[in-house]
Amino acid sequence: MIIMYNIIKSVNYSFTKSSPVIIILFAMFFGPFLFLLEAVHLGEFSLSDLTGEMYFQALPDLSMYYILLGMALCSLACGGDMSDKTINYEIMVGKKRSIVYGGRAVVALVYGGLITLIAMLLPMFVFTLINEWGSWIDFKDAMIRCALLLPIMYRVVALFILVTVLIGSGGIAIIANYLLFDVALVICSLAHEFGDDIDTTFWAGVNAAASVLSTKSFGSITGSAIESGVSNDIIIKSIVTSLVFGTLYLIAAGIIFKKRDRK
Amino acid sequence: MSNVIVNVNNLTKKFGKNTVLDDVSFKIKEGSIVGLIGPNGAGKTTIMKTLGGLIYPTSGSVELYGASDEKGLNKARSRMSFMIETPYEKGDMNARTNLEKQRIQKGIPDKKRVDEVLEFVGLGDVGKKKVKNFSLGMRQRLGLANAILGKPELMVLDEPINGLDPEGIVEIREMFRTFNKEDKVTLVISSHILSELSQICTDYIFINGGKIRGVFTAEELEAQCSEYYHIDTDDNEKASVILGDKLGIKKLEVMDDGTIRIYDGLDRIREVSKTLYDNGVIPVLLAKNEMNLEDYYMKMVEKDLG
Repeated sequence: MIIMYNIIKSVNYSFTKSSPVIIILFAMFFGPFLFLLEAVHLGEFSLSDLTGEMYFQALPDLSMYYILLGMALCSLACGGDMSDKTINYEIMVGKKRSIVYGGRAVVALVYGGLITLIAMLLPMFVFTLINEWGSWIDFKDAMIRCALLLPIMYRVVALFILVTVLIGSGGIAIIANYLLFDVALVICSLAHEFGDDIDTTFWAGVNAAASVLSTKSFGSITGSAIESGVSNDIIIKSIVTSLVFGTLYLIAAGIIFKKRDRK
Repeated sequence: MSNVIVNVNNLTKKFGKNTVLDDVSFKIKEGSIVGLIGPNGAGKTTIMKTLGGLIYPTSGSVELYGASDEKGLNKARSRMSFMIETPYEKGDMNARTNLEKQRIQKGIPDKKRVDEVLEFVGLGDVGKKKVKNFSLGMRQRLGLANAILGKPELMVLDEPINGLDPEGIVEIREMFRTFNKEDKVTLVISSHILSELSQICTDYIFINGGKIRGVFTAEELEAQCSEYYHIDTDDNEKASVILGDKLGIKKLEVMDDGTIRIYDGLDRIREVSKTLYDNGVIPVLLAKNEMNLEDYYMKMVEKDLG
């Protein structure tokens, strides 16, 4: 554990000194605020319109922005040390390959998953504090939907990690992961051409994220509120498919990393 | 008697149909400085990567400090350091932060070790200059700094003096001597600068085409690198016949340029000269030479190519 902790610390050390990482984190935490302030400045809406609920409704579109930035962080965390031989030098001083991989996977999950999620949801809480939540969507239901993003992000990031390990380079993995992201969304939307009853919610992690956040999954409108609860079926499927697929991806990545000759 | 700390047995490595290492076996004793010599593509780097655990053998085994299982090999590698192909570096960081990252990763508690090592390799005054702006020599020094950071007992270095100026080469050579004599560090060094290797190595491993061509101590190699006479005449073809038939000289070699080297009959050179002249061959050159490490290496390569 100490050895993996040292690896996590050293990856984090270089990560926090990396210009691309700092720029991505800045874009994540401040980008949407700047974007929204610009919209206010242009008169599209006023600052007092920005409730927590309004931000929540924009999440299905905004989430793609965050997931792409998180994907870049994940690719750099896992792949950045592959192309410059840092990983080779860790193996050559006797670190077990599983620990070398595990340390990087942890950093990728934290930055690409957890920190990305925090950045994604932070504006919602800020706007709630400033302008309150709103009355259209139940706050508790919205929080449950946001909480489901945690296992879903685990699955999404785990797939990014697998692709990065396969590619062996952080920069190229960003491109590959972006293409995979697009292909997954295209497949899910094309599937509906074969039948409206085909449920693609859990085919891909990004699709699951969009589905749990989208108002299309909400129920009927009563008065000035909408039925925003999420069914137990959706909750269980979100958690189970995410944990199963996410874990399978991580195990596959670990096996590939362990068995492959290093260049 | 020194312990054997590296024992390579019948090591073979194939990449697809390409056999890069073919039944390689050798031992390395504690406290030695071993020169690993061979042309490009001979298999030197593949051997080093196998020792470092980056590459898995197709067959055969590697033993480090008596261990051949995965756990034992990893434990043994914690006593070693490597510099293979490109030295470790992160281009966007400076020398200090590069080594600091390594210090954290290796779990070295002493924070002063980074500055100590930078001073030792001559990078103490580079300040915040990013490594991507370093010269090749500076990068080599940083790689060496990383290699000595954890105070290893065995260092495996691939072309460590590449890119260094003559002053730097002398510095690094003295550094290796110090590590070996004072800190009892065992060194395995590959280099194309054979004249430098010959000044410090205690043992040599020659490799070509993925096969071991010879393993010698420095004393054994000196005995192999024998004296010879270099002969040139107006008719070298006739001269080589005369030397064999009339003088009974058996150890002779006709070089690519047509000149002749004789390795026996060295005390009969007057007789050689007279016999050639009496048989209508005029000697143009008769010079005594000693084969050095470079000559031996070139002989090995040419023999394999021939």
